[in-house]
Amino acid sequence: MGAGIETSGVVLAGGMSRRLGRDKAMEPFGGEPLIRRSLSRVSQVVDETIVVVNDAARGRELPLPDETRVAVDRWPGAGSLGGIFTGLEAARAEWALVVACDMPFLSAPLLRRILSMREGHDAVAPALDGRPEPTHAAYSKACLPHIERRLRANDLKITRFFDDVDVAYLPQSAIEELDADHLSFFNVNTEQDLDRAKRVMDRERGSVAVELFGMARIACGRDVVEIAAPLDGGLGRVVSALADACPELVGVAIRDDRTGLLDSYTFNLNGNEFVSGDAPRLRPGDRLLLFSSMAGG
Amino acid sequence: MYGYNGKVLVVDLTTRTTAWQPLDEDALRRFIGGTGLGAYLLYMHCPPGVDALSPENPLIFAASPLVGSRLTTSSKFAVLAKSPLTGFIGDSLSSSFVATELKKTGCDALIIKGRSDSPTLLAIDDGEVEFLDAADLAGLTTSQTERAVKRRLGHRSKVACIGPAGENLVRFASISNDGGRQAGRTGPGAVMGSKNLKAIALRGTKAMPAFEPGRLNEIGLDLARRSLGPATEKYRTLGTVANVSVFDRLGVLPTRNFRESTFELADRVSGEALHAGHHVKNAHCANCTIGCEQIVQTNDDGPAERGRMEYESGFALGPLVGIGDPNAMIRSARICDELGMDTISAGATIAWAMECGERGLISREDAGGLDLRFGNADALTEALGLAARREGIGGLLADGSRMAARQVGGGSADWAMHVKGLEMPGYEPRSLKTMALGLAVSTRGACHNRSSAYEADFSAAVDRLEASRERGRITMDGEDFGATLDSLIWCKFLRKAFDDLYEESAEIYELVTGWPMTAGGLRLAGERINNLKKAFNIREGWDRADDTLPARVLEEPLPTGAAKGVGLTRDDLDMMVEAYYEARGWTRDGLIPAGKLEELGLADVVEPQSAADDAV
Repeated sequence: MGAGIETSGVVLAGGMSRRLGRDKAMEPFGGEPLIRRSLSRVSQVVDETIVVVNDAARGRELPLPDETRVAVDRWPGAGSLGGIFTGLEAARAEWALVVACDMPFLSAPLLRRILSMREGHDAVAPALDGRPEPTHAAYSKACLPHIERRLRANDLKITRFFDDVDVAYLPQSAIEELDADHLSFFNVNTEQDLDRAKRVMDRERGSVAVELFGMARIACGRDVVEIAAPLDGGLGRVVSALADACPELVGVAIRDDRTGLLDSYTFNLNGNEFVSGDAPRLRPGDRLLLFSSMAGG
Repeated sequence: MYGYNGKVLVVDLTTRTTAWQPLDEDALRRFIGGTGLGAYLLYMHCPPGVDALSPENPLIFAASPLVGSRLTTSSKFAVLAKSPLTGFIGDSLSSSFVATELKKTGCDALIIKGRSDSPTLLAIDDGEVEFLDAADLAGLTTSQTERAVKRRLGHRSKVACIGPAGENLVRFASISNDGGRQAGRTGPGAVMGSKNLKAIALRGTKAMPAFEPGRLNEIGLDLARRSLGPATEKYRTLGTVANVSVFDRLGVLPTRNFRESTFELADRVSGEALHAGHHVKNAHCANCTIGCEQIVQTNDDGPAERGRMEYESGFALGPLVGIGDPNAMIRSARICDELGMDTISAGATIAWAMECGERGLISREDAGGLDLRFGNADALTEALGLAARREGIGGLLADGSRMAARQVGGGSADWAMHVKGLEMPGYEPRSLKTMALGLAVSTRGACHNRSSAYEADFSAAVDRLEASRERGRITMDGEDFGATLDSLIWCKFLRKAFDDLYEESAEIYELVTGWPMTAGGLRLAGERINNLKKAFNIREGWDRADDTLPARVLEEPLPTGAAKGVGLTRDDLDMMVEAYYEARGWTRDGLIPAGKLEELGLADVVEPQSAADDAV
């Protein structure tokens, strides 16, 4: 296995985009092509990324980051199962997280949660209404011979090979803790899907409560501040909106240029998830906790 | 020799004799100083299997190469002995001019053996040792003792002493020093009391030259500047007690003897509330630029008190006993400091007793009229005094929660919140899974400090609510980092001011001692020291079953707050403990293979019977 590479990320981009009528990987969404959006979410939780394409020419056309590798589908025409095989085989790590390029609302915490269940299994798949989501799942290389056998038999329904390996299922309740509306699994196939996705994104521009602790609370003289922020705009936008609402925080918890927090402060989302460099996707009603980044004492 | 004196002063209270023994370069480089040097000396000087309160248990004060360098936070020392609370290694750190004065007397460590027939004041003046009668100090509080010693021997003397709790062999008694600083955890004050040693007065004039003072001074100034940066903002402003409100919000604030992890009155005893209503000033340890210590005072109609407040004291004498009155919390912490008791173990043992009271296992009559129930501040302050004097119910409390639960029975061991006999600090393990492992495997019992394992839980690196095997490696790394820090000795709160603690400390070590050192060498020393501590415990009868957590943690999910419903199963804890042993290169049973001892340069120190043959 590659040095320091514990998990690979595979983004399937071999689809024909027949129903949308244009290459959905290239479809602009939230200011970037859809595939870049998927890749950036996946790369938050894996050590390398691989995009599976139909042919090498398409690989060259796609707007991919330099560090992303391209793998050409070894089983053209065999649908997603062939893509999973190709990506998993190309992976430098023992495990690969597989998603599709047309999923605009992938959630890093949910992907992390899937990876956390690997130990002792061959694959991990989230299940909704009892049905696994195989193009939003993690596979180990132990799956390769079983996938290959199905491919050779032209038995292309992905979950059929789940009978041959040990699959851990992430239950719906656990999914909903992190993604109540199952938006992670939403994929764009039609013009209507695209509209719906854009509506979801618009809806998520809303209000967020920031709970203040320590000197931040003392400086502002209050415990909670409500801010209106573009929820998909990353933490920089949140910090900037917070600085507008509470200028006292600048120099205490917020950098003088208002682009981020001072190193001495950190955000926690809803009392659960610590927020590092990668911005979480905020939802209306979310609560961001602002407190010291030093946990000692 | 630079940075070290190359000598240990051994004092025998039974025979009233002293001996200066050489410490060779090899031992100093392998064990550095502080907790590492102390652990080495303890391993060599503590006969296996002795009663912790017997004359044979040595009480060791260890300075470090940085003591005397004037680098920020460097005036620290370690106290080691076999712990009367755990029966395993006891080590505790404190920060004060006792560290500098100890070294100026001409030794790197002081080992006290034997037992005096009558209360004794040990006076060490530039290497001259006197055994003075201390009958007049008997029963005095820690501040009274220190003042009396200074009146007698002069104000230049630096004093380490015990209060009534140490004299009465309260198993969680602390050693108070230099104006009320405490070496608190694992009961070193009881060991000092068992030797009839009321106080030590230190005075010295020996200079401590560094090998390359010029460059060291430059680094020191830069470090002092960095010590005032963002990495210490919390400590410099609200102090550690800032944790209360955050921990409550995250569901990690142990409340009412760990029955809950949120406290409805947290806002009354929070760092923010203390700052608004009680803060007097911030104080500094010796040679420290950070100044994290919060001096607070009461503001109600009761007797006025002024004292220190740390998160651990506040949690243990507040939420843990169900008390949301900051004035009661301040008074209780002050009582502990004056009587000479570890605030964490004192609060946690009384929290156990309060739960026994509520469940009818300890009646009001048993408690001499005390109404032991959560939230009763009068019962708390009364119980602290009774424990220190071993009066009435205090006799039971003075032995700590583990022994008390054995005596009371009735299932109360299930809610005696300790690991290996040391009471748990203020970090809820069910909702901090890395910390859970750190608490379970620490050689000194339930300790948050030796691993700082909570740090991973308070970051995006792990999901704090989910157990995982990676915690084994994280905890090991944290422990080895901690052992290096505690041996040099730096303050924990300075650790984030370094870009690379190992690299920068290796250079500083070279400048101080003139001996070559590398980052890898310091890292290995940390690992060596933790293995040595473990070897001490193995020699004292440690087995796999000791690396666990209280039944409450493993059986009851958290009922409230952000972590509501979260628990920790035995299987998950076992999985993490196994991963930790594996990371350490130990056997499945947690023993140290002979090859590991060899690799760490411990084969000539640790007897082979402590070792096992096969790694995991």
